[in-house]
Amino acid sequence: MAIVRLYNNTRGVPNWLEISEPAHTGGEGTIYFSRDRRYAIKIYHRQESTKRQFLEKITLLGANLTADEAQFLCWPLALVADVDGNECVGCVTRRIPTPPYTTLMNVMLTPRQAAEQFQVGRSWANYLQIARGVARSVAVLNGKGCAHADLHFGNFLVNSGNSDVVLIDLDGLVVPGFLPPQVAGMYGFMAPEVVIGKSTPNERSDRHSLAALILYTLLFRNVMEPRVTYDSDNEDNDARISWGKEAIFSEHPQDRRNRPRMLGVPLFQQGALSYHILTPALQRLTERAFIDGLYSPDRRPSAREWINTLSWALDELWQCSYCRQYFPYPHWIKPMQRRACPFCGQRRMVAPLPSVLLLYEPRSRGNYAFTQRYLVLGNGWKLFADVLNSQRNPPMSRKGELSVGHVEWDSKSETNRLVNDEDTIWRARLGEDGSDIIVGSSTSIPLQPGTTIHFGEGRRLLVVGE
Amino acid sequence: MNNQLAEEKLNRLLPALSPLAKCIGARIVPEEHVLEEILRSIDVAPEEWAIEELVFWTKILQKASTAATDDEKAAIAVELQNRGILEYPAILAIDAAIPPPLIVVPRSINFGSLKPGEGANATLKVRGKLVKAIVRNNRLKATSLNRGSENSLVKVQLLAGSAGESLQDNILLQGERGEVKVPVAAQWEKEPPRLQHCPRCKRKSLFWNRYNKKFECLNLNCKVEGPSLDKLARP
Repeated sequence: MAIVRLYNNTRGVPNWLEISEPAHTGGEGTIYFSRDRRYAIKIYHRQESTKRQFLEKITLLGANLTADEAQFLCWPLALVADVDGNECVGCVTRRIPTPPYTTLMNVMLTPRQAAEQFQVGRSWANYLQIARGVARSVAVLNGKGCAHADLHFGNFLVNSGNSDVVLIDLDGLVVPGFLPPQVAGMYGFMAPEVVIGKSTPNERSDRHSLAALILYTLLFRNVMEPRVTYDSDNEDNDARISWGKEAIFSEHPQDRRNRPRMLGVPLFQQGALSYHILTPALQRLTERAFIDGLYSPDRRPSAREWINTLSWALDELWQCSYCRQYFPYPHWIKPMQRRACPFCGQRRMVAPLPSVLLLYEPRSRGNYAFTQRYLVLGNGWKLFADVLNSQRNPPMSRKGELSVGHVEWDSKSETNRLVNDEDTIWRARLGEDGSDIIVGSSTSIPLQPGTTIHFGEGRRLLVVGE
Repeated sequence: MNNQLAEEKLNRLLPALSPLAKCIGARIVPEEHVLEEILRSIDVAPEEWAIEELVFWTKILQKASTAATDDEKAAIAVELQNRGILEYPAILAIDAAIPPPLIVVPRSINFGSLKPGEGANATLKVRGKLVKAIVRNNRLKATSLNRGSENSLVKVQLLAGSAGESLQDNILLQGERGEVKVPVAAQWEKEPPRLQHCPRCKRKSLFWNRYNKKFECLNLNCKVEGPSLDKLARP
């Protein structure tokens, strides 16, 4: 048992901790757990005073995190002064218990691992939530003016119970001018400009890494995976070329070099998921990240854009009647007979089918604008208050969120009906004949294509698409 | 000059924040030629808009040197954020703009393992105006020399401890602006067994005299004694 003495303690970390055997040794340092298992202590291999000063600045920044942010960012909470009297450079974070947490890599590295997760009750909707959690942690860092600089699937821990995500390894943050990059990153997630040495890690390269991680989480493959060997004699040089100057999106419309063999074949038939299974808004962000922005960092979507778009995608899911898996309902594919479950390939969409509604944002003087956001609502599904509130984006969890309506299937007329569950009166113009109706509390409206529903001043507007 | 810069101009100017803050932290008054030099170092032409913005940042950052509380620092950070600078660069700029309260060498004292009843001494070199050196542990004494001047010495005296005792504490050095904690560690060896084998005669006759704090071999043919096993000798 050794005694680790600490300084710059924040958030109730004691002045000293007891440690025993190393829990893990990595390239940068050795990790120990405190005897009470509450903290993880990293002792760096290289004992440099510059690293100590660097860490002192990072703990200073951590003091400004909100309690909520501190939950998903595993920030250094104290610094090591010495171990048993021997001066050491190191830092302390809270220990994330494994289980229930596991690295992101363990749940999505291959389609097979994903299928195993599906068998134990995890659904693709959970992966969408995980992707949103990943985006949230990066958005908070980037929004405060720093970059993580080493985003990859080993640096995110996922709670298998509730899909919560925690970002670790925050001891190498980059704040331009103040905290220089410490590492370049990991092949597969590094931006091409960093791989070729044209730039050091920054917020723009974080955007690339984040996009690669999100797509990996949703499609169970690295969408930038090279399928061409450029230097068969030198593995490292080959990686540098294929992830760097020759990096190309696997679904690039013109360049098919990296296209997977079974692209578009259902996942449960050993296929590779295409980004075309994603919602239209997610497809557009993917194209901005990997086609327009691959070599133009300023054109890459921000972490904040990913959060919003991933959140909206949760409202566009539908459950396959055959394999019971959730997937983005492909309302953009017409005719309907061409729509299929991307997991099992089932094409027969059986009634009752969902209604697809378009969300419009209120603008000045009674005008509304379409924001490319859709709602897919089926029998028994709820309409939540946040969907109509123009000041809000979808929350991380809808537990406790107020429901303002729900959908019921009318088998006689073979249409969905939206029931008003609140006291506010809604006004609607029916798509069928253009007549205006009032929808009072506990009454309902048929969701016919073209119907416009006005929920009141300042709230979002819904138009039934199909 | 209250309007925020356009994003493109701000992004070009942001690399100047760190050298400007360090300049203020080093008590250098950033006059116009200094600002021009900073701008040239980040490949921005010293145009009027850029100089004006740096003057604005300078005024804000200069308040940092007199900020005594975290709330005051937070208020200065907000002022920088109102100029479009994000939270973390703003916080680090303020940190860099505050002259360090005290620089202490060494940063910690470790007296290591001591013999029971033994004490020790150490000296701290302090740069910056030292007001007071505070110790709360009755095994420690700290005496400051040349207090009030820019460079001072603090004599640290560790009083004798008993066998098996350990000490983990801090010396608090209070400066004019802020304070520094210097961790201090020491431990005293555990008391040896009362009777053990004598390394000289090899008999189990070596007695530890806890009152005189020395070993004494009771074998009349040996009779060695000494404060430790490696310092045994005939009297």
